[in-house]
Amino acid sequence: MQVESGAFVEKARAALTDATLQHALKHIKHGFVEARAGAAARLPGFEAMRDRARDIRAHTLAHLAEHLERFEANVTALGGHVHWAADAEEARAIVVRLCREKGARTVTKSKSMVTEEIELNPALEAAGIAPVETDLGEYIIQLRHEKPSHIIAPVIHLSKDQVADTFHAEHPKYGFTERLTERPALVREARAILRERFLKADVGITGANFLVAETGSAVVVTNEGNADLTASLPDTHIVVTGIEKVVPTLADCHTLLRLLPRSATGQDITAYVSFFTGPKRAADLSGPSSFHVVLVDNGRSSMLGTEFEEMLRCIRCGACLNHCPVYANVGGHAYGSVYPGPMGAVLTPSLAGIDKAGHLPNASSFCGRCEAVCPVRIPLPKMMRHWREREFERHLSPAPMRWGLGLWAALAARPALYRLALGLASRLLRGRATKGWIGRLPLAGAGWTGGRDLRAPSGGTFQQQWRRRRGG
Amino acid sequence: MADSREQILGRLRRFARPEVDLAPAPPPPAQAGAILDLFVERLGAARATVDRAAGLAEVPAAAARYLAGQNLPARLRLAPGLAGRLDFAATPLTLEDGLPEADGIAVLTDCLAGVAETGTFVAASGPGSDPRLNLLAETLIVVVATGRVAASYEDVWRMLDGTPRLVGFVTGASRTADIEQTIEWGAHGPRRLHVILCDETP
Ligand code: SF4
Repeated sequence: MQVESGAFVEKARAALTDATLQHALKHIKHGFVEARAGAAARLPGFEAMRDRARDIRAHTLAHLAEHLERFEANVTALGGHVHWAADAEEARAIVVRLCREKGARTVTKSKSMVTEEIELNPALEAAGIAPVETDLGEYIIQLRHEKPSHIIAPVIHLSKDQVADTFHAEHPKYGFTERLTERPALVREARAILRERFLKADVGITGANFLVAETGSAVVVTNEGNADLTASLPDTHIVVTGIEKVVPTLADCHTLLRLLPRSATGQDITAYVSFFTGPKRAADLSGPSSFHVVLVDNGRSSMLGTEFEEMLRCIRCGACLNHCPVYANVGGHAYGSVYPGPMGAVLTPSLAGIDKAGHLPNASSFCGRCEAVCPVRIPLPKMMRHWREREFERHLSPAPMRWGLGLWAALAARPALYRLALGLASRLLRGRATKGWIGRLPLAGAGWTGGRDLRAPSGGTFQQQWRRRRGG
Repeated sequence: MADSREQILGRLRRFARPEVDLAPAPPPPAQAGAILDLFVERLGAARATVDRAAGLAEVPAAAARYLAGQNLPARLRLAPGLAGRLDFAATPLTLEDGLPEADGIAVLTDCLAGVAETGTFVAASGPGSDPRLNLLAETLIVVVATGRVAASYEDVWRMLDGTPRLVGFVTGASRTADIEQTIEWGAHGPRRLHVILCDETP
């Protein structure tokens, strides 16, 4: 998994002054935040359902081997195949081999974060197989050679005009030479081009939002219907997904499915919720004759039994991104990982290593809104704090921060000195303030005041005030 | 490969906690009011249009009426489940064969069930159905039997014998909000969805 989060600070700064991006990010509030609040309010028992969802996911993780084996047995009994991939490389190799066995030249793909994580497309291309992304957002990303900036809205960072430019640059080879300006026309043009791809593809690759152990089903939700076309037209259907996606029963799956779209886009249900189970049966009129499921570990099993285990409950709804003030201001690309926002700040270091993703757990104001909206109640701030601790222990945090904390620790252990230093510091700070605010701090504090002001201390230190109020 | 399977499962077993229990599933959320009324209301919320038919014999006229009302071509591809069971002689509709690859052909299909919860219809693959038609049609007309409208998704699975290759819960037409979070209809599948609620089960 390619991670470029080392440049978070620079990228975030650039994002804040990018007018097009800032305009695009404004859609989050109405499109997602308000929509989710409305959907949650419309469904009686929504909060209790979140408790149940948390319990279903926690239970599944405690019995993961059992449920995966049951899933596998059910798929196999129907004539499907289950493949196990320890890491990204093995997952790519399996998919490439399956495509080659079919002599595939083009494959259609429906949006899948796991295939982004394992970087499947470059591997397919290297093997001479052309992958075609069919989710409109992913299709645009593919044309622009970019990465998605949101786990459910890949092109949330783009304006309609940028999409128009991209189509105008890429579509003349299909006979579409006019630069379109209206959204319906853009969608119609993409529909016409992708319709051809759907009909010609040799293999269809989808992800899975859930796997159902009791039936051996892979469940995919979309609004476009592109996963259904991907899974129904070609002769081979390959599902690529993480080992944590399994749930025990259909009833459990429907509980999670009631929460997923409501948390994600504020829809009561997406247009398509499809359960794919095995290859086509003998009497079926259509459908793929072979069905494969690639179960990807890629670091997930190593999270079990650690303080990050709860992250595996995630159902990738994106609510924590939508409600995060940091994400809403800098967008997804600044994070340098296909998993951005709060969930990415926890998951990316878990999968790629804290040495590669050290900045991410710090990209948070700890406001707690992510945890407040997470449908499976993942304690995201707590886990970001764990990563910060680990980062500090491993001497990966910046030097000024380490000195500052070291100094504070030395003082805190000596109460008399602490009182003296604090009194002195607060007097000094008051001296620097204009109208109660300090615009610039010296030394290590300069970084902190680079992007914000500090309220000047007033009325003495906490300890002085405490003594006064106790009537001491 | 086989090694990876053992390696992954081995690690998962090491961290298994058999003592973590899960209480039995609570019932699906209760739906207030009459199920059929709710179904119609939710279909409207999903921007599907609805018509009623007392019996299958009324369905061809209802389909023709809808297409004419929308100014759409009078061309129809019939799903295999309805083939030979409807008489179109009294309508101006031409019946087509093959896959509706090009836009401009409407598909008329039956389905497994309706779900009141969200105004959803459920299509299952099988000897009498071809899921590709529903996906490729630009205009989709679905006959839902009033006797097969369930309150919740969970109830639908009880109507099935085993698990078909595809069980699809479809709510409204195909859409995308990828560009500027604004909904556009007809992303890849149907641009419009019309439901004929029929008192006779096909
Ligand atoms: S962490 Fe929670 S809110 Fe964020 S994507 Fe995962 S399930 Fe959704």
